[in-house]
Amino acid sequence: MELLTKLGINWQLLLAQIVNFLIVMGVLGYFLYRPILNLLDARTERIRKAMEEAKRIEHQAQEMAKVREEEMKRLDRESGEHFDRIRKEALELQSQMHATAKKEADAMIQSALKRIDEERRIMMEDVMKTVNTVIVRMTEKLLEREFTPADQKRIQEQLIAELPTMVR
Amino acid sequence: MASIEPPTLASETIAHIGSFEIRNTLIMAWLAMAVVFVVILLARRTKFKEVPGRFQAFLELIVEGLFGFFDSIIGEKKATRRFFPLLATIFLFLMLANWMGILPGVGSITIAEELHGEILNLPIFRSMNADVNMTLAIALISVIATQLFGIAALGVLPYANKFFVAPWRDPIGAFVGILELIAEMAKIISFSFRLFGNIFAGEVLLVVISYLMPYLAPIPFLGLELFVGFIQALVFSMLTAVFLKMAVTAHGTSHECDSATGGHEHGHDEEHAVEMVHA
Repeated sequence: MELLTKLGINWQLLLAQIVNFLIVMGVLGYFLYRPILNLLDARTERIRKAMEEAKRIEHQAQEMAKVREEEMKRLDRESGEHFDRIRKEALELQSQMHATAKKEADAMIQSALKRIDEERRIMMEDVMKTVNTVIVRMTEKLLEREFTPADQKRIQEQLIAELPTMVR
Repeated sequence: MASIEPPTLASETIAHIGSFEIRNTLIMAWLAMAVVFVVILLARRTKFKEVPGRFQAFLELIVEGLFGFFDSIIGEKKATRRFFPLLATIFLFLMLANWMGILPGVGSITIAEELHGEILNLPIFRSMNADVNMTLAIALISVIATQLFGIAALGVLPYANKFFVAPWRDPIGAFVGILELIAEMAKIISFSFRLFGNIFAGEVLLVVISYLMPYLAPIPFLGLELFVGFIQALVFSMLTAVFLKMAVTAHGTSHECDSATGGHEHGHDEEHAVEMVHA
């Protein structure tokens, strides 16, 4: 008891201090800790949700990137195939056109040759006619000067008869 | 030269309300409470917003920091949330009171009182925790709360089994139970006298230093007292957290632990707490 007196322990004061502490604890708990902890919890929850959302979006983006990559690969493959097909078709078309052009050219050459032959034949006939006429005229002139009309007629007829063999 | 007047062990009575003594430490307790209420009023006035201002951010920093600290000891968020008002109030209220105890005027502003025909100069303000009544009050609250939380978590009988074991069934357990019971009582004494001793010793130290070298020399000691005030509040709240955790842990788990580790784990939490305090 002497020690308690020396230390100044007083039951009323002890009780008062207990009450003081409980009041402080109650007030702090109700007006400070609870609202702040609730706020922090709400903030943590919101951050967690945002993180989850971000993770989900990231996952979605990864999926989309994968799909895009696959789509690009498919498009590459398809465009390659398409290009090969078109190239093949172009080559076929080219060879077809070549063949047609060659055929047309051959036909044109043939017709040209035919036309040349025809023209040469006509020209030769014209030349023959002209030469015949010239010879006949020259012969007429010559015979008129040197031979009698009877001789002229005979030679003329003889010449006309022999002329084709002479020209060849 | 004035003679040195070291503070007395008992706090001084300044006034009376009926038979109730108003002591200088009680006035300091009221002042500390007033500071707490002002802080709360300011906090309520600013309202807790989603995007905090400076003051709210400061309060959030304290509350979040303390919650994280106690959660690291208790290890279960739900339990920490339940114990948090008690633990945080012990820490904040004790630290505030300890720091207020080194304010200028505390211990130096006196009032003349006549006692047994002798005029005494009694300090109006004295550090709250330099009075065993206050430290004992918080120690009692801490220990009683520990028992109540333990009973609430485990039930009356399982909790009582920590202390009362039939000696014919487990003689060693019965002896350990008695020791545990004594340890619970010892906690009150160790809690209250550790805090009282440190704060009272700090008061005496400051008085002596101020008497020997009134200028500049007390400054480092004021810094030391700030540190001591912080550490003592931390130790008190941390030990309460450890005891609370031990109280709500089923007795069987520690026995299983003991048998699994050959008894080396006995009192592991307490050792852990002591290590943390030393650190």
